Parts: sequence; C-alpha cells; structure tokens
Amino acid sequence: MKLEIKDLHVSIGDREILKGLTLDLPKGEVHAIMGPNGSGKSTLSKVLAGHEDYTVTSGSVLMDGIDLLAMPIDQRSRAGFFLAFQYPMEIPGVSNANFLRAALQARLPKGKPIDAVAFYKQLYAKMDLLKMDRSFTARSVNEGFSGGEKKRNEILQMAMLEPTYAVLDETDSGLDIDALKIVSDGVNAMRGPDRGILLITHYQRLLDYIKPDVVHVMADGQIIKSGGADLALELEERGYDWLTKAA
Amino acid sequence: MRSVLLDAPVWNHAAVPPWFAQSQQTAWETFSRLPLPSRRDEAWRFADLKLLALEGYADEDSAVAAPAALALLEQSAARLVFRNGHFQAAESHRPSGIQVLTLAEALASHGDRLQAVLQVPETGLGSAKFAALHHAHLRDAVVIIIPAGQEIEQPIEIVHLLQGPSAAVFPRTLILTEAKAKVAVLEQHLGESEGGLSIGAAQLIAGEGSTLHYTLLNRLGAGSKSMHFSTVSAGRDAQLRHSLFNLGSGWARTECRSLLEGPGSRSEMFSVSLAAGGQEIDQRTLQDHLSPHSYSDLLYKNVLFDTSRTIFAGLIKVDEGAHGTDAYQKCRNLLLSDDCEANSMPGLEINADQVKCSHGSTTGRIAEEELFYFESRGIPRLQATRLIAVGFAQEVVAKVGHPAVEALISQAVEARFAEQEG
Repeated sequence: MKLEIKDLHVSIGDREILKGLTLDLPKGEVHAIMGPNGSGKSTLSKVLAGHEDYTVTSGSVLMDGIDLLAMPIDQRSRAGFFLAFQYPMEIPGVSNANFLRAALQARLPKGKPIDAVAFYKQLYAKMDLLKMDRSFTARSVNEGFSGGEKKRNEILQMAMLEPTYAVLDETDSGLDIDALKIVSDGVNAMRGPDRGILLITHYQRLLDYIKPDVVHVMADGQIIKSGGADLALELEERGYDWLTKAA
Repeated sequence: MRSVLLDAPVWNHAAVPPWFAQSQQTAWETFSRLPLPSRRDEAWRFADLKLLALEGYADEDSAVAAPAALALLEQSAARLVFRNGHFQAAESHRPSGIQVLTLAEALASHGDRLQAVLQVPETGLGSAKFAALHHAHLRDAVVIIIPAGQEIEQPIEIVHLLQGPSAAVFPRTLILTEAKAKVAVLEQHLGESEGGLSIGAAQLIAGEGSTLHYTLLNRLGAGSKSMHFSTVSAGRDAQLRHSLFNLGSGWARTECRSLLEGPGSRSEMFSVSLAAGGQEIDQRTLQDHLSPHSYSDLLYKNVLFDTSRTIFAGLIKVDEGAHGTDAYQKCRNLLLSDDCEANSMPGLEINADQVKCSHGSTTGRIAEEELFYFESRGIPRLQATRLIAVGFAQEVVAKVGHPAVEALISQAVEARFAEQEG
C-alpha cells in the first residue's frame, strides 16, 4: 500500500516543471523532499491536490492502486489525500468550526447528519494537542491569523480529516522555534502504520523534529537522489550544488 | 376588487384627527398627479421601469387564514402581527409599560405630537409618487414611543404577512426614542404566495443620546414586488442603526435617507441582498450630515445568482457647517453567475472642512484559490460556493448587534441560500 508517483511530467502553460518524477511513499513511512527553490516541490504538492493551473502531460499517480489524477479535487480529499498548504487561504465569514464540519459532513452518506457532540469533543482534543485556544473555533478560517497560527490550523485540519497520505508543503516556513515544536508534535502524533506523510521543506531544521525514514532530493523537476535521514544533514553541510552538478 | 392604483382608497376617517384625514386625501392627489418615473430620472438610473407595472393589486379588506408557523423570536419585549395589513391581536403581545401602539391608538393618544411626522414618508430619493400611494392607503401602522431613559432589553418584533396573488399591503413603522432611551426593533415581511405587493415605510427618529436599532427582513414570496422607504434622523449624540436583509421579492426597491441632525450623532446603514432568477434589487441611499462631528457608515452587500440585477446608488452629503464629519460608504457585490449584473453608483458631496469621507464599490467573483482550498478539504464546489457566499453575508449579519435577531437573520440567510442550491 503506497502513494506511487511514476514518471510524472507536469506543465504550467508551455513550461514543463516536473520532468519525469518518480517516488514511492509507502504507508507507515515519513519521507522528506528537499531541494533548491524552483525545483518543482510546490508544483508537485499542487498537482497531487488537483490544482487546475497545472497540466499533467504524462505519468501516473496511484493511491493504494487507485488513479489519484482521475479524481476531482474534492474526491481526492475524501479518498484520503491531504495537502497542508504553504500559504493557507483566508476565508472571511466562515468559521473554523463550520469549515471543518462541512469537510467532515462531506465524508458522510447523503442525508446523514454529523454528530455535533462527538465533533466538538474530537475538535477540542486535537486543538489541545496543538495548544490552540477554544475561541479559535468561532474565528473565520485563517483570517487575521499569524503565520504560525495558519500552519497550526493546517495541521489541525489534517488531524480532523485523518488522511491516508498527507503532503506538507513548507509547513516549517515562517514558524518560530516554539511554533515549530508544536506543529512537529502534531505531525508526529499522526505518524502511524496507516498513514504516509511527505514533508516538503527547504530547511533541514524541520527534520530535527520530525525524523524522516527517507529523504529525497529534488532538482529541476526530478528526484535526483534518495537516502536516509543522514542525507538531510549532508545537504545542510554541503548544499545542493554537489548533487545538481553530478546530475 | 378595488385597485390600489386606479381607485381612490375607501377611508374610514370618522375617528381620526382632521389633519390625518387631510394628509391621506392630499397624498392620494399627489400620487395621482405625479408622473411615473421615466428613463430620464437619475433616481431610477439602471432600473427596469417595466417592473413598475403595479396594476392588478387590490386593497384587501380582510385578513387571510393562518399559514405555516412563522419564524419568530423566542423572546421579544412586544410582538405585533399583521396579516394583509390587519392587526392580529391574538397573535400579538404588548405588555403594559411599553408604548407600542396601532395607528388608531397613536392618533387618539398622541395625535398632536404625531402631526408633524405622520405624513407622507418622503425620502427624496425618487419615489415620491409611491410614498404618497403608501400614505394614502395607510390603514394601520405601528407607532413605538420609548420615553426618556427607558431601555428595552429584548427586541420588539413586528411581523407583516402578505398572502394572495393580488394582495397589497402598506406596512408603516414609526419609532421615536426620547433622550437616552434604547430599543431594538425587528420587522419581518413574510409571504408564501407567488404574488402580492408591499409598499412600506419606516420612520426612525432618535432623540438626544438615544440608541435605536432597526432591522427589516424581507422574506416575501418570489413573485411579489416590494418597495420600502426609510427616513432616519439622529439627534445629538444619538446612535441609529438601520439594517436591511433582502431575501425575498421578485422585485425590490429600498430607499433610505439618513439625516445626521444633531452634533455627535451616529448612523449605520447595513444591507444584504440575495438576488436570484430574474430578480432586481434596487437600493438608493443618502447619508446627509447636517451637524458637526457626526459619523455615518454604510455597508451594502449584494450576492447575485442567475440573471439577477442589483443597483446601488448612494450619496454622502456633508452640509456647510458639518465640520469634523466622518462618513463611510461601501458597496460590495459578489457575482455567482456570468449573466448577473451589479450596478454601483457611490457618491460624495462635501461642503465642509475637516471631514473624513470614503466611498467605494467592489464587484467580484469568488477567487478560484478560495474554492480550491475548500475542495482540497473534500467540500464539493457547489457547497464551497454557498459557504463562502453565506460567509460574505454573515459579516453584515454580525453587525446587527442583538444575538437573538442575528440568529434569526442568520438562519433566514442560510435557508435562502439552501433554497438557491435546491
């Protein structure tokens, strides 16, 4: 059981950004993708979520054997895929509680109402884990949130939706050290045999808190090297040049 | 059947003061004399004047049977229910100690005082003819007088029910708050029928240091037409809030003129309109600053579906001598189809110094990135659109200021959007 990305080619307009990317994320593992700016890391996350600005020209993505790319955006989420956004949207007038309720309601059979008591119980438990104040439920989604609050909110959504495969796009960017710890604790609490997590990051720092099983290096739209957690340390020390030149 | 347009109203003027009888007589003459709006009238710019065909509506002389339960506030300081313009004592409650009067009662007990105000409710915003028609047909009214220092904790509720395809009603509400008094009033116009005409008016007169909040919810049937005229005046340090929620009527025109008469007075004007099908919602406003250091704020939001149209024309006017005025005006349109049309005409006219004024209008669609965010959480696009649009409206609902009123309006907004989704 895995998220299986095979020879994926993706363009935006006439420009090819992913140039034959192949990656397996088995269930139960945490992988990290690192790479210089412009290597296509965020494109990968958007394409997996189904953003319509990107065109898949060839290749495939199978989620536990099912064609992820054939599904509409909302169906991918309901089928178990999750993307934590690098820049989460602000939605004025829609409370966090209503947003999450709608997302969970969409997972129930038509006409079956959500159990409100159970919903709040679960929500509060997850919020406590992420050290979020109760008043947060009534606030509009991400509106006026600090960078750290937005990222915490992404992790809260992940915790509530319990995806099978989650991609976290630069979740560490813009976080101070305290927020980074809280967010990492939240992610670590979600590690388990039934879930695969893909961390996209620019910095090795995040991987001090969330230990990956595998580290991939991405450059120019491809994975150019994969290795263990030590690879991240090596990248921190030597940069990307030695790899991109070799490739 | 007596047509409200063609036949002079049948008045029962035996028990009313002569000045009031005269005012209705004159109003009918004024209505008959004034021409219909034409395409050359600036006050009717962008309006589809064909919608002004008001033939075929009758002055109903009896109330109709009770339909399904009304959505009412759980707790209200007083409630007055009217069916096709007829007061329903059995469905109403008016505790002693609060002066909530019918027209006959008000004329009997406060006739002299009301003479200056119970006249044609003219806004000066284009509908003089129809304001006269309204006054000529007035059969009843709600007159609320809050004496100096009295604070009414719970909202006062007025319900007008319109039933029958050719029924016409003329709801009128007059609210006077004396010095330092405080009251909130929720007025609902409800209808289930596929027709009917409502031409209503509200006059809000806030005395020195008083607080007056008025909310009008239009949930009339989709086949009905409605016009509503508000004249608002705020005395020294008074705080007035006028909120409109247009969730019904096939065609609706509202006019609201707010006079900042006393120094330090405040006036807020809020509106949410949901226009769908071939609906047209036409709103005209004036924020008229007559005194120094007065404040006004206007926020009108329109949500447009299908081939609907909205019109907003608003003017901030700062008179000579009204120094230190703060005045704001914003119209925001959310377009949910390719075929709808939002017209905005914000305006400013400043004749004083040291004023802070801003006005503006925005028109746009829901950003694709917002929808993507919702969809990426498993929420289908249609539902995401509704949540975002409801959120757009709720921002205004939250300004009404009374939890129970806000909850009722909020539910009405949700229900209206759910109907739209089908």
